[in-house]
Amino acid sequence: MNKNLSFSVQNLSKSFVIPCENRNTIRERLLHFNKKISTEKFKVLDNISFDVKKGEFFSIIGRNGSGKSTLLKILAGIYTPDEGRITVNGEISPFLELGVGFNPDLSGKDNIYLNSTILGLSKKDIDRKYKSIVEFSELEHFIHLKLKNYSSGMQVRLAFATAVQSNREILIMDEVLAVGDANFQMKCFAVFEKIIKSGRTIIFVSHDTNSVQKYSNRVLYLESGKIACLGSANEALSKYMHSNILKESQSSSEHEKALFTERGLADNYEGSVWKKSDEPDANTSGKTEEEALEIQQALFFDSDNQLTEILPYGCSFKIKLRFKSTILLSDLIFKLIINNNSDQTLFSSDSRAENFKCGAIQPGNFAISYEMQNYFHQGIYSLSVSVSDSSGRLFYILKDNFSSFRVSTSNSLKTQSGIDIPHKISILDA
Amino acid sequence: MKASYEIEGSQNRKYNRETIWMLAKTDLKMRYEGSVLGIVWVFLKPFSNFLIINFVFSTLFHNQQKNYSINLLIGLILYNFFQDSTTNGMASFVNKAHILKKINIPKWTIIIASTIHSAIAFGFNLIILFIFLCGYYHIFPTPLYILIFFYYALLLYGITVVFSFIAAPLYVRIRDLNQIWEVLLQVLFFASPILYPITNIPYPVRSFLYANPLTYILEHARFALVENSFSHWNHHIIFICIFIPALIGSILFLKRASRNLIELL
Repeated sequence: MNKNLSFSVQNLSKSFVIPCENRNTIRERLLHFNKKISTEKFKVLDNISFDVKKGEFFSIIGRNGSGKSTLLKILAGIYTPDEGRITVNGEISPFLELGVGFNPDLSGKDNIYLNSTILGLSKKDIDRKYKSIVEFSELEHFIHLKLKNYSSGMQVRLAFATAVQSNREILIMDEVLAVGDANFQMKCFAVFEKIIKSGRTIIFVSHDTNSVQKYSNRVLYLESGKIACLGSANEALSKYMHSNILKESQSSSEHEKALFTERGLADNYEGSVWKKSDEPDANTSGKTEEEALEIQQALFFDSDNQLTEILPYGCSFKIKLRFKSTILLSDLIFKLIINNNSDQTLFSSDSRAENFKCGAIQPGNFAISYEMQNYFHQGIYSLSVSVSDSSGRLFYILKDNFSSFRVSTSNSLKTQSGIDIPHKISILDA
Repeated sequence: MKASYEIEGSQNRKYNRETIWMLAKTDLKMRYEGSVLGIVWVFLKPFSNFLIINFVFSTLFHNQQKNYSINLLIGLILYNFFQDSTTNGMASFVNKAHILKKINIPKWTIIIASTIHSAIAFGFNLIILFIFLCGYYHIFPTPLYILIFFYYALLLYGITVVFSFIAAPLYVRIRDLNQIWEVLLQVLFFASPILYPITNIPYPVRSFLYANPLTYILEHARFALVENSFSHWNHHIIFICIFIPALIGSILFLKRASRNLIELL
């Protein structure tokens, strides 16, 4: 194997056998000894090949159930692959989650020793590193306390501090940062950078697209057990977001759902494969139908109708989306999604669901306006826009994170969630 | 296409040893966690057991057999070790599922750690045994015979390892194995010369009892310790001839059965 590679994965496949009934005890086996258990094979990973170079920050993204964790478990040698060849060069830190072997009834100190030993440190090494582990975890005062009395944040801090001390060449991490506050996450990434600089490899699985984008050299995007994209962070993430927005725009109608799956959540809208032959061919000047409509810009207006990008909390505001069409369009469906910094959808509008009819639109420029009350917290929000024809099958526009606006706060934050809807609390006599 | 998983570079043997030791120590610590007497229970349990049985069989039944009590004590300690070690070994994969599911750790280290933990408790019991032996019964075995006794203890441990290598992966698949084993342990307890000396059993049945490996271990371990004697070469040769293939077989079985095992945990 090439010396510069950490992992080489070739034609990896893995299926799980799902029994249609469970037979775990002898009684069940004896009762049905002559009946074979009917099973179903579920292919979790399908013919996956990739390499990971030394010193890379390699991320794996994908929706729940796309096979990420199975892939990691196979890389770590926990699951056995059905088919394929995996070559590992270098020692793998064998942990997938933090705090392997942690025992709630042992003190923090004992757990450091236990966890570190399982992670492959010798007693001497642990003695030497013990102080820095405790320091990093900021748990000096609580180190003799039993682990069960720790808060979840303290446990994660202890686990991470211990884990990064195992000097393995390859680190595999599955959603390790899901808990932990922002400050702790920053600290973790500082450590990751150090690890990468020292030439070690990190394999990282997360749903946090921001950190994936920020730190990854390359990203593998898994979709139903197949590689949907393997490339730079931007490339893979935009495909991932694309497929997410497609899913978002799936309507409740079963018929449409089927069509979307048939399309395989496609990331390529250029071909005319999905065009129905009975639809009018509206191509003009060689442009495909999808290019007939263009989104030009998004403009934000505050309550005084002044153009701005910073909107104060509590006031009404307008979002104006400007389009240019080259053909006559009618009965378009507009969708607008507002996401916060960590890609949570806070607002989603679907013009068809809201019974908004735009009628026929002549070729040329036009704009659509959304007027609403600003209940968003302080922060930056991004817009995602899609426009489709009346059937919802043909997308003219599908723009993820097309534009963004900021919300400044005029009053102090009272609620914890992403939106702050004015409300009153009172006690009523029964 | 065949599946393969290869790691280039050396594997650390020292790592396995330290892991086994750490897990065994934790098991021992956790066993009496929260109890007031703590580690004292390691001694207290088998000896209260011994005192009860000794009272019933020696005092109530007026058993006049020579050295009955000390033979009973040795038998009980060895049997307890066997019972504890096999039970722990069998359940080791299920009990350590939280580790096995997250780490690629050699499967045998988990089994050995669980059985070693029983062996440590056995070691504590031996201290008391020797105090009784010298202080109360005034029997002073020579170092050679103590060594021979430890050889039998090691063989007994070997049997529990062979059993655990086979039972641990099976227990993951068939969870009622522990119930079955509990019953079988009861049978073994009465089918081994613990409560009674083997000389009390008439011959056709006695040779049947000798098919039980525990009989072999118990009888010869007592001989060495109490009577300071070592005989029956044919027994030892037969035992070793069965034991070594069984050990190799169990290792191969464990290796085969470990494939796709974690998914079932």
